[in-house]
Amino acid sequence: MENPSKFTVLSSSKGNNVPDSHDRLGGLPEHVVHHIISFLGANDIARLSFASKGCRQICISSPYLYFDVDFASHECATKCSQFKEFLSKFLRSRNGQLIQLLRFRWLCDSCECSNERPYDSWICDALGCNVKELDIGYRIDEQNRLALPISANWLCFLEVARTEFAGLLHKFHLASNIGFSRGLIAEIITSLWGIYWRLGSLPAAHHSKG
Amino acid sequence: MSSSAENPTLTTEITKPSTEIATETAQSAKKINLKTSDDQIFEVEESVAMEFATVKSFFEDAPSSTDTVPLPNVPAKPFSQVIEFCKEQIKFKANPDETEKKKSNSEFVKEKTNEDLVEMIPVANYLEIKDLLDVLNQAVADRIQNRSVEYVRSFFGIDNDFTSEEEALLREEHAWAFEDVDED
Repeated sequence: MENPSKFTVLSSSKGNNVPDSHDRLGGLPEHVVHHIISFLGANDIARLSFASKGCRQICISSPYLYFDVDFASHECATKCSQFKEFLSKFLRSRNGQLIQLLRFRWLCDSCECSNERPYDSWICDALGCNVKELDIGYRIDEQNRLALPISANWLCFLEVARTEFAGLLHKFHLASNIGFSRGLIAEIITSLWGIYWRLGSLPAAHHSKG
Repeated sequence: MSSSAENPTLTTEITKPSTEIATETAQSAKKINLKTSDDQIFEVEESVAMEFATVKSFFEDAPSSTDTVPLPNVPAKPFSQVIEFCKEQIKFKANPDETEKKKSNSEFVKEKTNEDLVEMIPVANYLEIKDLLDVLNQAVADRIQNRSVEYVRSFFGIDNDFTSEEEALLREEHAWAFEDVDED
């Protein structure tokens, strides 16, 4: 402290938010907490958001989100709807703050849930947050064909989309407002698991219906 | 925060000449004094101090001014561990070996307590040591991965400001998030 000029130089650019409580997370700058969150596994962010009200706020603003649920049909009813409500509310609380990566796995055996397609609204909410990377997985069957609610307008925002499907893929049709090349569709059909595509490889404004 | 008196190993460890680094930077074995928030002076090799972007830019801004650089946001205990990390990192600058570097980094975090890790993060952030911040944030995330809410709270010293009613409701409404969590 005997050298105030240096003290000022070294502390001016950073903002000394030294926490006065023992809360070590709350004392960290937001971008550091978000960096930690980016390394977390499935549902860890949900638990972190229940630690305190401050944690909830910082989790809601995180650009990295990863949720994974796998419900057996007999216990689906409550848990499913709770998860759906949680994720919808969570995404909407963000008020459009940018999402770097939204990753979710949604595996539910109940037909009722599949027909409801809750992930459509999650994807739309994520697009509303200008999501850069979508990594989504859900069960697909006869009733529940692949149709991503992504319009061509969103392609410029998305850098990477990645989907994984569980279950049998009998037929599927793609949202008619995006053009997919036949080659791409063939590539999708070839592999039931771990389907991966980069939207960058899509022909721009191409409207051949697969 | 520990006071200087009760941590005698700290100063001896840091001030003793490090032979590995001395050989690599033989031409400039200049030392820099850094003073922590709890008034401890660390004498470190210039090459180590230049790993701290904050200190580096301090010298770039005012090259002639010297002797002791105060680090008002940096307590001695985590700082000594940060220096330990940077000394290791410097070796890899001369001989880049990603596998060895990863191994050394994971050994570094493995032997640290939860408290050590959490205390080093603000220091690494303040001193702008990007590699260390990456390593620490990953390590902290690994340690709270799949843990209970209570564990996460005690890990970071978070005060639970939910009422017991709110908390009970959270648990009831988010049963899916509380399943298959590792035991504390």
